[in-house]
Amino acid sequence: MKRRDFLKASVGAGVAVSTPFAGSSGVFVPLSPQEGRTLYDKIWDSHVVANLGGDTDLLAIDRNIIMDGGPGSVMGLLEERLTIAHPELHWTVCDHYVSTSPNRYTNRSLNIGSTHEDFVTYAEELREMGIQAFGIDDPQFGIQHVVGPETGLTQPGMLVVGGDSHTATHGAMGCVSWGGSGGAGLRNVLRTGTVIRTRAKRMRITIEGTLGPWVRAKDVSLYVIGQLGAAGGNGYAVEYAGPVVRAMSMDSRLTLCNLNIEMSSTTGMVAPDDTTYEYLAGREFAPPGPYWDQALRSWRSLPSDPDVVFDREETIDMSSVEPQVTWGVNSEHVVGISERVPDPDDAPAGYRESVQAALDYTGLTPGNPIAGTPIDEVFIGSCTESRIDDLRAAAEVVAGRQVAPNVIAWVIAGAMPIKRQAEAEGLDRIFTEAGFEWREPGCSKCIGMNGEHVAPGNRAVSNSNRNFIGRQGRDSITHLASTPMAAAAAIAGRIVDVRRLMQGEPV
Amino acid sequence: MTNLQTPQTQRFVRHIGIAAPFHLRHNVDTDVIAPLSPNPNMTGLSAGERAFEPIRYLSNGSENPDFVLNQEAYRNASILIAGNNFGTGSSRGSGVSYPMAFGIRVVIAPSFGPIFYLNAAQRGMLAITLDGEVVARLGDWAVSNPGVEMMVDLERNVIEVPGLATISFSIDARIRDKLLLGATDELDEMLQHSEGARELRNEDRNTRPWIYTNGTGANR
Repeated sequence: MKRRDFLKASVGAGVAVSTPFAGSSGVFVPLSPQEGRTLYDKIWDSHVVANLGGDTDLLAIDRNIIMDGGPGSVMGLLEERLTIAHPELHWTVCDHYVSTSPNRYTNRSLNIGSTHEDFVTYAEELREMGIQAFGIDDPQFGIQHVVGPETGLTQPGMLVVGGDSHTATHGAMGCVSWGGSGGAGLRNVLRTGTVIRTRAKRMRITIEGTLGPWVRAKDVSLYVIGQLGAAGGNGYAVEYAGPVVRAMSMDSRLTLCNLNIEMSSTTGMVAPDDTTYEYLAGREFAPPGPYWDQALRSWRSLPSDPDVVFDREETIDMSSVEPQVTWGVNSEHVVGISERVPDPDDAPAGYRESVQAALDYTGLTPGNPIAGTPIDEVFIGSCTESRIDDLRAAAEVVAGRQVAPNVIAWVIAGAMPIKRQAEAEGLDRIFTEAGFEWREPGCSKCIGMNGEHVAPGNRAVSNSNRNFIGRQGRDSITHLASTPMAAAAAIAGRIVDVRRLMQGEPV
Repeated sequence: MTNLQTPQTQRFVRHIGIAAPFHLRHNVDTDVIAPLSPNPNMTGLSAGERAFEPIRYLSNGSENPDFVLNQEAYRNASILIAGNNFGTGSSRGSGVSYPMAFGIRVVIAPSFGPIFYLNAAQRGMLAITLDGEVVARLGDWAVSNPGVEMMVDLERNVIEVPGLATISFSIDARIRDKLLLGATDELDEMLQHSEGARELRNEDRNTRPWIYTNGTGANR
């Protein structure tokens, strides 16, 4: 009997299955009927084509997001003239290489790289092949991890793969997703509609307590990574749970899962609930009318069973956590805004050299308060926090204030529908009147592949996802923080506590 | 040249080479290993020269003497003893191909960034995970034995280091087999199950028809 047939029969008979194969022998070991399954395992099991030994399976994918440039991009795909097994499952958007200048539509040469110059042509060819492709002239255009959920291309219960590591973002919709299917992996998923993958261990991170004023999903993520470490999720698929996550908007959940990769876990998830379904309803690629109720019934069966046992459980109480800001070169290098830059001598055993190297790069003095550090640039955008909730929070901070002299401050909505919504609410005028540049959607300075960088030697506060050495441009320094914290830094010209700014206290 | 060709991988059976100690730097990420933002004072760098560029060269284009691979004894290193979570970050294949172009065939670390680890297997680089204490011992050995070679044997799953007891390692059986055969492409294996994939897909089109409704023009 094929494995998936067994699963179906078992589930029908009221028997739940978790990891039926033990070791590499391929011997089938049914688990006790009492043991429930996680969200991750339910989705995984329903996509298994064949077991390939041990915990490695051949899986049928539901969505594949193709990169716009680099190895394994749309260009290579077109050059190879591949036969695509299920074209309707693949989509692409040219987000990394496009200019975010408002002039990019009239002066097309601003969009660097042959990938984009010809994307209009590519997009047509791809559409002829049956692959959805979004160019800059498309009304749904944006950053891939914003476009997927915003258009309804990503839905609960799906298996979503992509080239980009932040494909983790989509797990917020209640699906299993991961990045890394570039190069030969892309060719194979296009040809077969399948991927080979080893099942991860399961970790549940329960977020408890309540979020204080101006503490957001970004702060939850940075705090969690500060506690568990930049390698804390390695080997695990993470399910975020608990009252704080349940109360979060979809925009916040997407931030949470986006940053899951920053603790070296490729898959972060939130179980779908009414917040998810209400968000999806009516979106362009959401299940059309006749299928909606059927989809909803299917989705409601996805959340982890109450009796399920995770390989690892972590509980984080957010009640006394303040807005977070990074001081070093990865996301575990983080402190609360009222805290001080750490001393390498206080680093955990074996970490002294890494902490010293990080401080050498960011140029901070151990023992100094992180607040008050002068900054040169502020970047608000990226697949982490560029959705309407984020822009509204930034606008609330910026309204009636002015960007500090000599600070370069950009705001970039994650996708065109968000940009139009923000403009309808007048947020763009709040930003531009304060001295921010209001630019067009794209990845931009988060990674700099389009030639837009934080200038050499400049210190930036960014609401994006990586503060790696040289990430935003060579010799640039990045402090990661939430969107309102980044907005507050732009106003003050220094790293400041957004709570104090908003209470009119001296910062 | 197209972008989707299977990378040419050599068979990996055993490797003898100089080990460079880099184990005190944890979370070395893909933006350090394979940077995207160029050094304005350096143009026309080859892939091997771009490996570790942000910490290997100073902004003025001169070598950073503190970086291990710039030190005379380790310039020809082909084995890197690395810290926790080596290769964390992005999915870019250059995170593996640049160090390989430099000449690195083996990285030994307590843990690896998950996407880097899979990319390494796909491109024929051997990534060995060992207990942190063992990695530290190997790193300390490489410091005290500059330019001395060690042997990594994938057939026997052991590392032979002059003056140290033989170190065994375990590795995912599928990755080991692929590296030993030099056949890292998974397409043939996938195609063997195309009948099963077709059946599952047909069934799924009935049970979850909404998954398949977004084809070009369908809803636009």
